[in-house]
Amino acid sequence: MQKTERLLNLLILLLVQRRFVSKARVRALIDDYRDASDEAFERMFERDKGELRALGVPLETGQVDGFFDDEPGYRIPADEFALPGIELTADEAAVLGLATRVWQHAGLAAHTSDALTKLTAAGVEIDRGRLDMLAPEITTEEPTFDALWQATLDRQRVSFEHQRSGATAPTKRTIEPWGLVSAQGRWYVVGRDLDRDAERMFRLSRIHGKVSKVGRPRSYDVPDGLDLRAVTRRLGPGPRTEEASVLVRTGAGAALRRTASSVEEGVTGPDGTQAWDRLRLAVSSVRWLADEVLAHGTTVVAESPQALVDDVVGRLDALLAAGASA
Amino acid sequence: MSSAKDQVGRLLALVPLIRRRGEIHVDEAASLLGVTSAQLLGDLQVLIFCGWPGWLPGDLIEVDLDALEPGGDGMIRIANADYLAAPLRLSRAEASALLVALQTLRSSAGADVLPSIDSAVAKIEEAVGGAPVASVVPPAGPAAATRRVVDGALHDGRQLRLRYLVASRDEVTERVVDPVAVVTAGGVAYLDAWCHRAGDRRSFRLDRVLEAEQLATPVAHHDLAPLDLSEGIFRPADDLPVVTLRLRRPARWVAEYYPVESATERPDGDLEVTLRVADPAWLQRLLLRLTPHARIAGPEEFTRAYLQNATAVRSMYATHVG
Repeated sequence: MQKTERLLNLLILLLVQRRFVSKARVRALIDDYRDASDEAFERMFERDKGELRALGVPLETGQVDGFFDDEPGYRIPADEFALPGIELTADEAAVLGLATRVWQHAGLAAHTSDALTKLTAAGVEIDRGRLDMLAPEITTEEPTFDALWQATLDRQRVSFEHQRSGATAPTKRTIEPWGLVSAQGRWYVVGRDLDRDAERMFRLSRIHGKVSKVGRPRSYDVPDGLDLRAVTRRLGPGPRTEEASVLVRTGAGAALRRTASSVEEGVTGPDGTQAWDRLRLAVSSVRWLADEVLAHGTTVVAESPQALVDDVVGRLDALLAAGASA
Repeated sequence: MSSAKDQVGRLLALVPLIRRRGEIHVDEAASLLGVTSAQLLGDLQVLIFCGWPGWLPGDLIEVDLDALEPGGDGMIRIANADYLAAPLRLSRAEASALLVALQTLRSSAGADVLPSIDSAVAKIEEAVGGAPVASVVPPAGPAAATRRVVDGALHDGRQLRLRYLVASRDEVTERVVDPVAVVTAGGVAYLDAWCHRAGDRRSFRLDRVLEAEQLATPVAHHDLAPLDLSEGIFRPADDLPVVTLRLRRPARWVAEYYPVESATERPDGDLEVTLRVADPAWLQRLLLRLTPHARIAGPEEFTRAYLQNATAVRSMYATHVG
């Protein structure tokens, strides 16, 4: 008996029965299970259930009604087995054809292809040549990606060593992972931090070493209606609400000019000449703008708010008082 | 060789496909499922041993294997498999992988394609139910527009005219390049290109491209090996001068961001790093940005220049009383 045959017959057996089928009955019916030792049967059956679930089969565990109260049973509800009807336009289907070229990760590229196979079975006609456009790639350079992806799917708690930017040493975090988010080329894991009992986001490139599983799969629920992208925006840099103005020498500060909301040309600068422009900017933090102003040297001068000027001058004075030598 | 799980997955797709059409040619079915016809015939040889529990002859799924023999019409016909007529729902892993791929496509898509991507995403999310395990934050702002122009030129094999900001010199340059690829290193996207101004290969940070315009001229062939990004995008040459910095907490990001030659924790909590300096102006700009959280352990000439620069910047605020 081939393994494919065993898997498919197990699937059909659990799908066509309306009630839970006991483990003993499953074993009695399928040749490979009947012929195996107790231990080999248990192993084989566990693995087979896992593979069917990985295919997307909703294999449920429950109690068999009747004589043997505590006997576990299994079933596959037909209404949950089926993909709901989906109607795609030709343009939407063409977009799907491109999707298979995006993942630069063998496992996830295969998942994408498997998804398209099922949609094809549902009658979606995917034309891979219709849309003529470059497919951007998505990569997963971070070594912890696979472990976190799997833990999120399994709803299994994990712990890892995470080093915050600027921290001297990593700290151990234990989280319930809700999902992974890619933003500006980096992956983040979003979830509930158990020690802090709060929503947190961690950059995968700041996780040191391995991710360890804690406890059992399916041990928590992801909040209803979770919108991963919204969470990321909420935890990311704040909105640009600080109004600031800086003076920039004519021709300099191209990066700042690009983000300016207005430019006033030919204003008098600190050197008494009019070779300066006043830029007004909305920024998410004065601190970020102070870094930019300093990096530009004598070509950019902070003007307002006062906190910006104080930060720039205070940092220069601290340096000049202490010296720059180590 | 194909795994049993893959084979089951294909058979679960094949049965509903045939059910919809009545019959389907083996070559067409193989191409729809992304396998060879020989593989699909192998799958069907297994299917005839599957069926209703009991597995007596009348219980088994029937496949018209004669039609698939040489001389047959090559059409697949399946009977006695009504319970497998519905396509299997997407697993969460499949749905998530597909949705992330579709969201990623947004970064290259023009205005004509974006609505199709968004409506496809909405329909798939609806059909799947339940939140996907992964997501992509769409790129926004000027960098997103640049990316579309660059991807368009890469696809069409045309040159690009760039207005590019060389940040270390705060200088805007104009150049014509032959785009090779967009690569990501350390979370930053770069255009790998042949630069006609430099007469050499260059990497351009996409967020520093101020303007990009596709030209009518096709790109020339340069026979370039793919960039080796295993050590990041910057590869400082070995003969460049080395600077040793001591970084306080707010400046420690430097060790993550730049290719440091060495990084050592010091007892006072500072991180000591050594860096190769390709451009002294770049180092001075970095030091000013870090003020006063980086100190220099040597060489002395960098320290002197830094103090001179800091004094000059401070003089711009002569009237300020700290």
